[in-house]
Amino acid sequence: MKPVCACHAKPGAISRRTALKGAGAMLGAAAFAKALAPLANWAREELTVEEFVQKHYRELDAEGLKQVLARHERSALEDYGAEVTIGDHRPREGVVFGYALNLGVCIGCRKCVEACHRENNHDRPGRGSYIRVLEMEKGSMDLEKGNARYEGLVPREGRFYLPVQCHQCEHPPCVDVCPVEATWREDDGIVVVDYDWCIGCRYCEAACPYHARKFNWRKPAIPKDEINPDQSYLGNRIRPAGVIEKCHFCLHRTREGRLPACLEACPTGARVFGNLLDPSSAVRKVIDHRRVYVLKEELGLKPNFFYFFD
Amino acid sequence: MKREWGGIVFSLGLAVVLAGTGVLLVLDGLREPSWPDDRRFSREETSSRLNREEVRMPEVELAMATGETGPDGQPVMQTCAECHADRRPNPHARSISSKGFHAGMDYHHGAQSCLTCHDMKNYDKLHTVAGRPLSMSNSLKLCSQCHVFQHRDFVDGVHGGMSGHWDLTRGGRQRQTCIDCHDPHHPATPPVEAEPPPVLVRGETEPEEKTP
Repeated sequence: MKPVCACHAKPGAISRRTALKGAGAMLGAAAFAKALAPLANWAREELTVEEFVQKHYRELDAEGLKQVLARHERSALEDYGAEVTIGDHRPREGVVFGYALNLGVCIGCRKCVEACHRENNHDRPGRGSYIRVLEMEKGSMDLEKGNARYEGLVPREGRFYLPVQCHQCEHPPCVDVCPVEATWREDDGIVVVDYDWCIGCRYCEAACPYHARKFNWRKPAIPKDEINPDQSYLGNRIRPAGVIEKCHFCLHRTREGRLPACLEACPTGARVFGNLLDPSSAVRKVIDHRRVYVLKEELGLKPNFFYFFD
Repeated sequence: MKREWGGIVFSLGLAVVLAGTGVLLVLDGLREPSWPDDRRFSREETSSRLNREEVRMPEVELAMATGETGPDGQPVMQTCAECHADRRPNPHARSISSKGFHAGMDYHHGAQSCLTCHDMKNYDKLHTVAGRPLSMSNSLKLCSQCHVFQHRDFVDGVHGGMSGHWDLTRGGRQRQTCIDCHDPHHPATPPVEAEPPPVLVRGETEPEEKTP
């Protein structure tokens, strides 16, 4: 008997080729669904039309911005039960912020870390903060050898402590790599993130040589009465999951003329903050009269964050 | 022949439209998001009046517990002058005897005698090195007579805690004084317990053990 190939099989019967095709397609579809499944968890719950069509922060007009701020205030009330005020704090002309840190008196107590944690509405269980304090061996300035997880009594013999946060570079590499312009340097030198525009690709986190940017792996968990209600759109408002965050020099305070929270918390007075364009400011006095240096100066990023020993 | 020409014209038209869209998209991508004129800077009024920077002048407890309990259950307190009114001052006292009234005090402040700072004419006061009386709260003036570098740093704003405003046109600033942090009888600050270290969240990896 002559062998019958599939194409000559009786109509109605399922040929081997069809069966294989079907199985292949099903397998493919299942693999595709499985591959996309994490995205479903990632997508923010109920993305509204308003959120979806929201403009870039810099292109919002006054009325549009008001609506956006009101919407975020409402969602803070719905999600956390907290009454908050989200402002739009803008820089002043003639101000560029600078920070100097006296390593000679820093004792590594992490009071600044804790103050930042509370001021900026960080996730409580994750103990988030924009500041990391590195315990360094005296005589070494190798950032990579610092230990950020020291515990117990400080200061320890033979060690010094190096708090690191965003250096607000004049040439920020994190801004250069952002594919969607969700982060930029403002006129007073503060590098900010529009959390509503960030797509969470984490390029900026990789680009920062100071490890100053952090990713929100989950929606911050904060008890209602611990939420700082004094918030800013580009600053300390509660960030959604899946976006990058970073130190913004407490712009909701400093753009109102107040000192940043980490400085007020420092018990030793190691932290100095002020306007770099004002020759009589404390930070300028440090830069003009003391031997200051910046971390990883050879990268040419021109940070506005300086260290000195008294 | 006619059909061929139609096809070519259609293809060219499509190519032009696609290229145009592409150029527009690229140009849009290159465009900096623009600032509406009224939103770029803060429009808050500036004032030329400067607010003050104030150094804290803490109330100093001038009385010490005698160790006895009064009839009201409260410890009996006695001011410095009450005892020292009829005692002969000892200008050489440099340490605290293990017995007697001051026994509980921890004194480690170089080779200073008590009367380097305390005024023997009025024990409720301090005195400068030149002998002028000074109030108990004015530690800044007292300490800076010797600790000139710390005083210079304090004046420059790089020593000692502060709070308030960096911009004095918009508010005042409060400075802590020496004895807010330093015990005048034992000025070296003891080690403190550090706040807890950061915890790992999902996505972060445990760094290698780096403590030497």
